[in-house]
Amino acid sequence: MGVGLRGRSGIISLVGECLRLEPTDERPVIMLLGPRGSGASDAHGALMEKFGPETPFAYVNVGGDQALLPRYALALLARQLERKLPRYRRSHFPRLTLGLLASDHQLRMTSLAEGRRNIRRELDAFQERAEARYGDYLAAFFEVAGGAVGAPDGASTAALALLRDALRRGRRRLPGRKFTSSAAWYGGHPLLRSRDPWEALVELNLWRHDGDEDDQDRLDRVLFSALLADVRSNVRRSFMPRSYLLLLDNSHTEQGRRFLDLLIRARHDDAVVAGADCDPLTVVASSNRWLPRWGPATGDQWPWRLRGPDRASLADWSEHRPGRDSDDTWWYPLRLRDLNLDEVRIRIELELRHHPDLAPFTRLAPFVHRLTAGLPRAVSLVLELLRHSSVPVEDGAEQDRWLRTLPDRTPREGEDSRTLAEAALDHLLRGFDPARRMALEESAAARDLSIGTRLLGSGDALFGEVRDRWLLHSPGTVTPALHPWLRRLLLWRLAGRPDDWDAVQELLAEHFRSEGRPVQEMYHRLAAERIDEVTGYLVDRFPAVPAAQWISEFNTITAAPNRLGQAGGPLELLAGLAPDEPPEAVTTASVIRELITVRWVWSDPLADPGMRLNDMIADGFNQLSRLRRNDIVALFNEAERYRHWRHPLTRAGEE
Amino acid sequence: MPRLEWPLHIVRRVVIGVIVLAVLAVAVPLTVDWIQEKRARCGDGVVKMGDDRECVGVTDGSYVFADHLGPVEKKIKEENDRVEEKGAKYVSVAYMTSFTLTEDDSNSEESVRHELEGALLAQHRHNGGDLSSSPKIKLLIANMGSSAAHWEHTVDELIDRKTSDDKLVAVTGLGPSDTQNLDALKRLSDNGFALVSSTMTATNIEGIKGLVRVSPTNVDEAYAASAYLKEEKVRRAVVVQDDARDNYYAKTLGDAFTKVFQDIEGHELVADRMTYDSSKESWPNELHYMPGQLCDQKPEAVFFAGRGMHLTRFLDAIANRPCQNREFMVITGDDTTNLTADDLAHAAESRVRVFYTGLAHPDMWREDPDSVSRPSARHFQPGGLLAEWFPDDQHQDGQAIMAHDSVLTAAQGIQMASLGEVTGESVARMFHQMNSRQQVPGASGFISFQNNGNPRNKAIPILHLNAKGRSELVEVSARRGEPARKQ
Repeated sequence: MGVGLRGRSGIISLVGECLRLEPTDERPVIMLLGPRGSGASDAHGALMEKFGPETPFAYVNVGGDQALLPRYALALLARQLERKLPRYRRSHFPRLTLGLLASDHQLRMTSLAEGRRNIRRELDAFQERAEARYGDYLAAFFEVAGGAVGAPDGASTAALALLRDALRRGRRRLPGRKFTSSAAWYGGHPLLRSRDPWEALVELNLWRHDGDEDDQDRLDRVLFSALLADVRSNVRRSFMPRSYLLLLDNSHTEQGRRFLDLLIRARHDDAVVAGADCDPLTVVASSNRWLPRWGPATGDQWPWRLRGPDRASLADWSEHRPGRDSDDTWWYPLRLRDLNLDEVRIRIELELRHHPDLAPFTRLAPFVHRLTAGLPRAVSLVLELLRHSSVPVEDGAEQDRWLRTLPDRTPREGEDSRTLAEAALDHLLRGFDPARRMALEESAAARDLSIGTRLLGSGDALFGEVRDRWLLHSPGTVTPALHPWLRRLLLWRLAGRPDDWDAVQELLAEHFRSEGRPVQEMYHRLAAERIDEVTGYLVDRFPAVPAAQWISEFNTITAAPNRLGQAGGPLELLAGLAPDEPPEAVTTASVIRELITVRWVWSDPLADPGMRLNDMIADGFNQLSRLRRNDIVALFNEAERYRHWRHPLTRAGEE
Repeated sequence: MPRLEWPLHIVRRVVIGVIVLAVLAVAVPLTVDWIQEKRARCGDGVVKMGDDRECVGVTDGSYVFADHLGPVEKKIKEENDRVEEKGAKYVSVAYMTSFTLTEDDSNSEESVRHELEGALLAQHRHNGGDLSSSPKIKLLIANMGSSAAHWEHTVDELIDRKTSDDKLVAVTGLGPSDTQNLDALKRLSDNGFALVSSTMTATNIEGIKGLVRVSPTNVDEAYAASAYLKEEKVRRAVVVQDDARDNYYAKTLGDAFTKVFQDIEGHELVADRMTYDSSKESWPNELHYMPGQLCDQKPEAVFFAGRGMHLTRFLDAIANRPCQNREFMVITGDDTTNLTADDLAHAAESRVRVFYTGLAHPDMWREDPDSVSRPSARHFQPGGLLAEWFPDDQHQDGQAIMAHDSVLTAAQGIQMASLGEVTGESVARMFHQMNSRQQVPGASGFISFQNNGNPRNKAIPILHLNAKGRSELVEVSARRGEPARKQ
């Protein structure tokens, strides 16, 4: 299993199931949803690598800079699906090709009757010219839309080879074999007025060159219908695959959304409205955004609830799909999840095969996981940085100090001068202007992004945009928090603006004070480094509430972000936080104050990458347990938890 | 139709594999057959057969069965080529016998070579010689192998040539008289060939459709021997006979002589038949004790009814007889002609007067000019065509004459049948029309046939083995004493 497949096995098995279905069985349009960098492109590469050698597949990236008309995307798909595989006969797309051909060049005609007389001759001549120039007609589309078939990000060498193979293996038709022989299909199509095949083709041509927006839309629908008719016809024959695999990357773009709309509509028209067999396409599309056609991004008005990829299966789809009358029945939305600690660890080990120089960093897996929360692209970025930098390989204070400034390090000298934080933010927030990005940096100070954006005046639009981009860590949960990796980077940036940092934290603290939520208030006080205030609050609470509740509040407050100095390891950072006058005796206040500072530093993976402060926290809780007469088990347990620390599998950090 | 989902590349491989296997299944046996045929092939129509890998089959002379046959086969080939080159109408006549000989065969190389030379002479005379007539004949040489072991293959080859360009209508030769040859005769007869036997003398070979023979029967020979003895005033004779169960030759000779010698008063057999059994190992001993009895019985002549090879042992025994002062003559049948010159020279050393009935002899014409065809006989004389073609060969054994007469008979039948369609059956029918002026002018006598295929009153030469071991013609006899004459 390649790197791209790690954590995606549910998707792989689901696609495998779809490909094995009978040709006329219904298949979902599998939507891989998640923020940029959540591994959708990896999944495309993995699917290509897994099924490409045995199944006809096509990969189209509709998120490129180049506008990709649906007709171009169809041509690119068909061209790739024509690839000859050893175990199957070659697939043909005569209806689609004829439709493309008929709507390609404007026909010279003065009347429908004249057009009808000439069209066959003109189409044959046009086909011959295209074949003489490009080898086959569909290959001509590479001239105008070839950029959309580049390999997905992070595709393996094997996947790249398969894709190259799919593009290269064109074929020259036998001379004399003309696409016009499949004209009859157009004569019977319900979207076309003409019953005569040749008049229908003339109609297509008129739609393309003289038609309005509705005509263009109808043309695209006819072309999609032609594609589905071709694949249905193909799979009815012997020695043909049961299904074709369609991989659509970045389908949240306008042209991608249009492509999906047309595909879903064509399938629904054929399979539900017309009652024909369902087409045999297994579609896997990825989207970094919520699609507008699903209603508001809250998801309240969409019958689907996002499904996790680990348990994705046809049975799960059948169980949860809405009724067949709605075209929502075809979707199968899978929310890509972050990698867990074990997957990060395995990923590092798998990368070792190609990059043995990563070997010393395998034990840094917990650090990488805490830092990135398992976002696949973030994990890759950090690993790449470690591989290309002069990070001390020995585990110790020196390595801790180096890692402290990791976000400001440059992943690749020379090629890209951006720091890790900049490069990662640019990728995650692609399309955000600097002002909105700055606003987001400030809003990120709040754990609840909606509060941040509202208080800091950036408005609901920013929140909606972030939510659309799947950048909230836990969609649908009570607290809409930013993805930890994004928040950490944004706060790292905000920390570079100390005044703004303090102002924002003060504003938030005041807000929560006025709301009567002292824990949240203290969270922001601590972020503003007002340790004594926080100590005072927690000392007062210590005898007042049960130990378990006190620990919970303590944990929430000490998970606050910091803008501590960038130099030094955890102990040096702690030294900087010590009281001006050390206490003469051990008191509850002195113990709690030290515990607050230690855990605050510990909470930041960049401040304590190796979690060296575990023992100090454990000692702190032990001392605290001695300072309390009753209800000490929770404190004792907490001390034990830190002493024998086991990093949580999925959560990136403590809150 | 259900869709097939088997992997196409596997299906293709399987289909290609099956096709390849099918092609191989056809090609390999064909190739093996071709190689075997190539290896088993000696020449056109001639293949290697049997443990000895001897070459048997039918040739037009292009394949030489044995070195000693080279010159005669070459001439036959030339004559055949001439026939084809001229473009004239032709049919074929085969001469069939065992040409590849071993010790198991009673014929000698010399005798079969002479046969082929005689056959060639008849072909030559018919095609362009003194008897030139139409249609022409091609002479095919058919070898059944030693002891006629591969007669079936050779007969099949002949049957194939019935409908080929060769247009085979008649088969001649056909000796000696054994079971294999008899089977071959029947098979050829069933396939409608005209058959002319040259040297078969066994009395029981008769009544086979299409078959005639130019040689006298054993009974004829015994009668001729008896006639000769009576003419020589021999009154007392005795019969020494091989009592072996399957020696039909000896039995018919002995029975016929016993019957005919005593038919006139004054001629008697002085004792019961003295017998030996050549199928038992003790036969030389039996022969050894006979001279004593002969001394006691005092016959003037001994009629020896047995094979030539036993005769030499018998003569050895007589040479050492107790009554050395008593002389008597030994007379026997034509099997003596199968003895080699060395055997005959050894027999001559016994100093016993030995006479035997032969099938033919070159001197018959000189002795009795009316009993044989002069033009035919002339070719066997010194200065004749045979002496010209094969100057180193002697033809005293009469085999060349008999072969010549058999082919000549077939040729005459073909010529007579040519008024209609020439087929094996039409030629065979003509054999029975060869009476009066249509007698075959053979060098062994004028030949016409009885309904059973035997020659009518065929001339039989009485031969004497002289002191040099060569046969001298004593007189020309016949079953009734007087041979058939020119009509």
